[in-house]
Amino acid sequence: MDKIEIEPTKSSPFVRFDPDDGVMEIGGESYPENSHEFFAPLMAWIAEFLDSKPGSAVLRVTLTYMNTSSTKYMIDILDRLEAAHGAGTPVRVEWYCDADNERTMGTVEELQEDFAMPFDVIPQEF
Amino acid sequence: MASGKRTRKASTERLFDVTDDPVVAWADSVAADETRHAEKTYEDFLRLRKHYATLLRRFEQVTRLSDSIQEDLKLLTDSLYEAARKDPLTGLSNRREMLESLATQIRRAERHNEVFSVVLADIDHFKAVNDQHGHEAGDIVLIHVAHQLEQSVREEDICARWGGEEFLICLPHVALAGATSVAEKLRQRIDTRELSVSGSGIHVTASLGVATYQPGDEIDTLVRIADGAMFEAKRRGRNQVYVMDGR
Repeated sequence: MDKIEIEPTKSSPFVRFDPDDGVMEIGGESYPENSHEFFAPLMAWIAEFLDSKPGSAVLRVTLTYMNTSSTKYMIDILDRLEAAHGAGTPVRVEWYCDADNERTMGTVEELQEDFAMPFDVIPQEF
Repeated sequence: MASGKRTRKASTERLFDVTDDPVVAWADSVAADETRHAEKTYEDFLRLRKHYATLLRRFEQVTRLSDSIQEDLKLLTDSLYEAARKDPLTGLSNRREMLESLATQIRRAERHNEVFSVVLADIDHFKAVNDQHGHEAGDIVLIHVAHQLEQSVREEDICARWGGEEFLICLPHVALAGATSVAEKLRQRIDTRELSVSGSGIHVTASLGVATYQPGDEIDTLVRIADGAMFEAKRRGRNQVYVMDGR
């Protein structure tokens, strides 16, 4: 499997997915013109990666701005990871949130409760 | 919208695909299994499936509308942020952004025992440029000087239009001697680059004052010292750099 390395643009986040260490990192601002076009290849990569029964999978999220459809796709990614966790793959989610934004923190913490996999919500100064 | 006309390609892909939804697929499979039909339950079940599909469609519409509004708001916020911090004529930071940068520099200097300096540059006889060549030429001179400043400093330095023909440059991690040589470099660069405005050459110079942060200094203290030095440079005949003694 190849790595995914996508540089950020004004409206799309940076992406670094590495099959060797199992770290999937996404950060920056996400309001792409066509979110399906942006996220579909990422979803496909994650599906293939998790199907390969990796030794570990870590999702690291450092997004500072997300539109609604990006949020939808991020939740789809969490669902996919949760399924892998259920199937025995060691999965971990690290979701970094702006410490000054209580509403976002609260929403991500609510999301965290929906999942059984290890899921850390980490406050950070952006 | 305030951001003007942008063409936004409408995507046809569904965010919520009813034909690919696990709940709908499950409902379909139960419905297809005649052994599981009891007259009434089956009708309720179909109604449920229909509602669920409608819900997905609604969610799709809501998401598209939200995305569109969020994009407009994001671009508007970014442009307002930019407008509130940049000088529209020269594109340099404005006074507000410089004040924020100075506050950050002072916090950092206090916390980590760091050093930084400021240079205040004022164009000499700027009024005469305006009187002789007109205000448009004056604007071109301001843009030209701003450009010279930006070209001479490092990436991490901040140049701002401080007032009318006054520019303030903040030099992180630079002590007095370094700042003085930066100021001298700026002076030379402005002095040696003549500007041509509608056929006539305009030569401008600047007087510059330097100040370096010392523990306990506030923004006002620092700018006042740079200002005093700049006035002393003017008094001594302009087109020069001055550093206050005793500081």
